[in-house]
Amino acid sequence: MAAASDILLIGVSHAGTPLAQRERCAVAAADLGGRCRELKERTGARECCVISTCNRTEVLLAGGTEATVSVLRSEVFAGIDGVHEYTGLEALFHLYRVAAGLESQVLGETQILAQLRESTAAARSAGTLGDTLGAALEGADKAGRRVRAETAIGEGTLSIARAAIQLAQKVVGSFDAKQALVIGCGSTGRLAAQCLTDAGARGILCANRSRGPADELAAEIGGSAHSLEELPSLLARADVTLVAVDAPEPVVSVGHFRDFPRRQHPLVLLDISVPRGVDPAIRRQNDVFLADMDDLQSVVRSSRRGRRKAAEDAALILVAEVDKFVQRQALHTLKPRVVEMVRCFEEIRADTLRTEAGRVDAARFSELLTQRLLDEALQALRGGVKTQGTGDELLARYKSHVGESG
Amino acid sequence: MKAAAQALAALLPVLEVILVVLYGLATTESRGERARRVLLMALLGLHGALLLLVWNLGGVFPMAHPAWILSGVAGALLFLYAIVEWTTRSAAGGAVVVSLALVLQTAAAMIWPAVLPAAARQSSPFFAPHAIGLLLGLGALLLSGAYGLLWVLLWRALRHGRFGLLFRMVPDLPGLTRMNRRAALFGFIAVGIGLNAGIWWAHDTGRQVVYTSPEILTLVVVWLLFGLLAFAGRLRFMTERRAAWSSALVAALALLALLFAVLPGGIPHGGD
Repeated sequence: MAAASDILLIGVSHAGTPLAQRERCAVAAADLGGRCRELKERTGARECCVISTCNRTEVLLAGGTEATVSVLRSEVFAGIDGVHEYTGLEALFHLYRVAAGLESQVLGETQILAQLRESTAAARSAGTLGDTLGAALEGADKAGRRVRAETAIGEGTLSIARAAIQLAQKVVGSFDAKQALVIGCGSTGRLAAQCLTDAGARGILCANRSRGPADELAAEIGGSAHSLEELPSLLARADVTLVAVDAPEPVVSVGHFRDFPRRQHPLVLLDISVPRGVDPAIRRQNDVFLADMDDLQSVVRSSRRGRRKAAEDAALILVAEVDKFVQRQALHTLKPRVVEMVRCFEEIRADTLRTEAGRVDAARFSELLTQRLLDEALQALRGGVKTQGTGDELLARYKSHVGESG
Repeated sequence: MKAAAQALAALLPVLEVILVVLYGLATTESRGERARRVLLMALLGLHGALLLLVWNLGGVFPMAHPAWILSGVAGALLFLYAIVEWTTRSAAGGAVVVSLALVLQTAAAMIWPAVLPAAARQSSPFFAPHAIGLLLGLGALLLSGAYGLLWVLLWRALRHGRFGLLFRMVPDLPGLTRMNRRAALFGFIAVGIGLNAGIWWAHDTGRQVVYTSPEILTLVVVWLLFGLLAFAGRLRFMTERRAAWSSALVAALALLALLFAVLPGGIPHGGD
């Protein structure tokens, strides 16, 4: 059984690593479990969980060896700038801040919680999650929910999809009488399509590699379903195209724009996929506006204003939740010691009974027994668990962590 | 009356500075809308009063002195902007347009004549519509250019991922296109009237009209450009981007032409 100090978090995020490098270490949702197993094996860690979203790829480990970090740095994050690494409490603080949306591009966004649960489920089904990381991820989830429920962190927050819509509106104006196309009908694509519908888009074209999800989404929002083979004609019809695919290679390439019909308004391409779903070379095309995740970061930055107070409130909640985790871990760590102590007391009682019974009276016998038990207990206490500190000390360390990390 | 005209010419830039500030504030907070509207109306009234005053003093529509032309263009610019703002219900670009009017009016105030240029009595009723048409046309050209320039700047900012002040203060690209087209339509009508009235005025005063003269050809080109911009929505080759670039470029050329070609001598025959 391990304590909080056993935890290591290493990864990259939008804060320090450009999109082109982030997409090199991104892990598709379907591959999360396999990646967890692979990394657990290669690093020799006891537990492993990989968190991979549009904005971050982080590896959470418990019980790693000295070689763990060097393995991750040289193999997983080789040649990547801005790799961050936290251990113990700092790793917990970071994880809980991620869950609370405090480390998100869009402060307080809610999608990260679902993504975190997805990562947890993948690691659990891959068998790489144990008591330590399981409890840490559970605690992070709870902290994330509390922060959103009890603070104003999410008020007026733009999700990435909503920020994309706002950006599109700057180019095409109102969505009335505008043709929207959504490429990729997974969870992000669905959210984007919903945002487009809310913004007034009608008859959205839904394109997906397999027709099933496209049919489902089209039925849900009153659009039409298409396959990716129809992309050239769909792109020619669309005023706004939102790409939310989970593919290793771009699905929209420069080739799609050869013999492209001239249009009055610029075509808007919003790429919210990581790795990118639209070839960045398309930026050079006239009358085409392409925005990727990095561009959206600038759009949503303004929504961070006025929520400093909420972030301070969130800090108190996060510290309280981290404290709970640390206490629980401490209790877990004590449990084998208590069992050992009970066994030891029993041995002392039996030994005292064997050596002293009949030689001394009952009063002296009880005195001797008490003395020996106390000696053992005091010795156990001296080598006992050191907890991570009081609430105030934790808060001070949290502030120092936030100061250092961001 | 002459002193009043001079004082008014000097007062206008001061009021325009205040209006620029009010429009500038409107980009960061939604306050001062009423004050802005009142001041814009007051400025239009004062520009009209100044025009009538000088017209009355000289007995001829005031085009003989460069200061009057500049002041007339500034007034026309503000007038057209007020119409566009009212019809589109958007104060976008207000700070830019009023700044342009401020520059023109300041230049006018600096060279305002102490002595009125000698001017013959106006011999034809067609001169005033001709001159007003051209002033409004020039104003429309500058207004359309300002919207075109904002379109180009916003487009470039979007393409380069710069989402700062311009992104926040300027309306969406279709909004700017709409306002550009509105300004171009006014210009199309105004230059059309000015051109035709000019021909009538020439005939009326016994002048020979040379249709291939640079002045008339330039006016025809500007009129055609206004037509292209105003009806760009129906022309496949005239994309929003091309329309914005064209209007910004032609407005810049017109401004240069105004400063270096027309102003040194006033509008030809302006005193007749």
